[in-house]
Amino acid sequence: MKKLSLFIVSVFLMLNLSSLAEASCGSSNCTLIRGSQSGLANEGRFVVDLSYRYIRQTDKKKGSSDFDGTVDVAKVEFEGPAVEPAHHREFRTINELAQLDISYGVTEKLTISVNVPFLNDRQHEHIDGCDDGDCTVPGAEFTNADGTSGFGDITLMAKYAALHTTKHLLIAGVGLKFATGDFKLKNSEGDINEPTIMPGTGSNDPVISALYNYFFIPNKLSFFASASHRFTTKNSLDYEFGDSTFIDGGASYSLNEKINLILQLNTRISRRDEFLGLDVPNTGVTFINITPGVVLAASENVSLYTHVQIPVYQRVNDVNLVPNFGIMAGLSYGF
Amino acid sequence: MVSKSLAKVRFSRLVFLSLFLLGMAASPPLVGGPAPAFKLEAVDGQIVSMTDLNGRFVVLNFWATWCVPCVKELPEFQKAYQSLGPKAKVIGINLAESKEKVAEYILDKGVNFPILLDAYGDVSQEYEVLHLPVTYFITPDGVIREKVFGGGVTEKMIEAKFNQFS
Repeated sequence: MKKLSLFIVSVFLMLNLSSLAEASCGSSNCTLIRGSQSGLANEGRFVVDLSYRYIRQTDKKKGSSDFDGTVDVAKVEFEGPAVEPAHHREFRTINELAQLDISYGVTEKLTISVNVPFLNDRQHEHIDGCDDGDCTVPGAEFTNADGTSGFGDITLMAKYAALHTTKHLLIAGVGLKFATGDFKLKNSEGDINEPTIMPGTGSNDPVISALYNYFFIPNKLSFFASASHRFTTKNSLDYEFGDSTFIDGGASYSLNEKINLILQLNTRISRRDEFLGLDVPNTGVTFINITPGVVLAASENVSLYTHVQIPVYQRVNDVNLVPNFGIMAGLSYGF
Repeated sequence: MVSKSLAKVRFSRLVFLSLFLLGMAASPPLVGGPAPAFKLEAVDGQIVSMTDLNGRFVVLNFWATWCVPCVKELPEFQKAYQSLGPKAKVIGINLAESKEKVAEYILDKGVNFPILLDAYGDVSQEYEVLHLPVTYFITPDGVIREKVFGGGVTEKMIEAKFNQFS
């Protein structure tokens, strides 16, 4: 089964870690690095960011190869408890997410941020009730009623600029993702739905991150590299999502005072999930995407941005559906 | 055998400790020490180095055309340049903008004191410029005596610093 929630979190983390070398001016001075893009907020100031993401999962993969066969994936039977291999046949999942991020600059070097995924909506199409890959058995039927929608997991992060100079910026972050989202929603049969399409994971997971930015030409051209890792823990259903690592790199170029272009390469590596201490089939992925984007400074305090995520390498364990593209658009306001 | 959970805890501690130690690192302050050496091209094509300025009272202003507080105080540096004459050297260092853009801008604003081009921000890095504008007052012995952060530098302030330090 697809690891939708983790994928979506990964898109957010990757894009949120992207940085720009932009200036932000107050009445007496201009900072060379604008907080909203580097993950830092200026001291005593807030940055509010509202974003929308659309991710379409229709491509089939077996390992890292394209696949023309059927994507029959396992079901985690919490009521059993058991894992039923090849329980249902996947066709398509459309993910739409809306998220609010609020950052506050406690000091020039320390920023506290909270990420609130207030709407996680996943429309899911599959044939349910297959028997070991046979979807012609009595009771097996197509359904698009097993999607979920709800409030996701809130993440609280503290980011510290360990190195902050004209040419170099190194930000280290630590945080915790809280189990605030629904993770026991029922499917059309009245069973607890698949963990990977729930709005939340049900676990409290520590997160660490690091971002290095090199300003080749300050305020014009910069390069960045970042990494983050989520240490997953078991939820109350004895399900544990696999640890996820994100490694990103890219460049930002200021076309003029209003427009910044960004090109980045995003890598995500997720281990297999575990249920009752055993590996869950069809979980665990490696994705590499190329992500071009543009940021428009609409005014002194407001910027608009959009990114498109294009897969260049995708590997799944067993078989699975994978995204064929993702798109993100948002608005950032500093005050 | 170390369990998965224990390994995670140990790894987390190691990472947090590393980040903490990294945050403890700090460079010594510039004020009171020798002004970092530099060699930059001016808008008029001349090459200017810090050693050329030794023996003079130097006012070093880091600025950019997009920085509103910078351009507001630019006329004050121009006035100080004219009033102090050869007794002091007023220098502007533009951060990472094109020669053409800066040349056009200062021509339009009537600025004729030397403007140097820090095209890649290397000198700004040495002078620890994180915000603009930043102004340094450097005595004839090449020592930085004061750093003024943010806009608001006036001709009178520059003259007062000159009288105080020279």
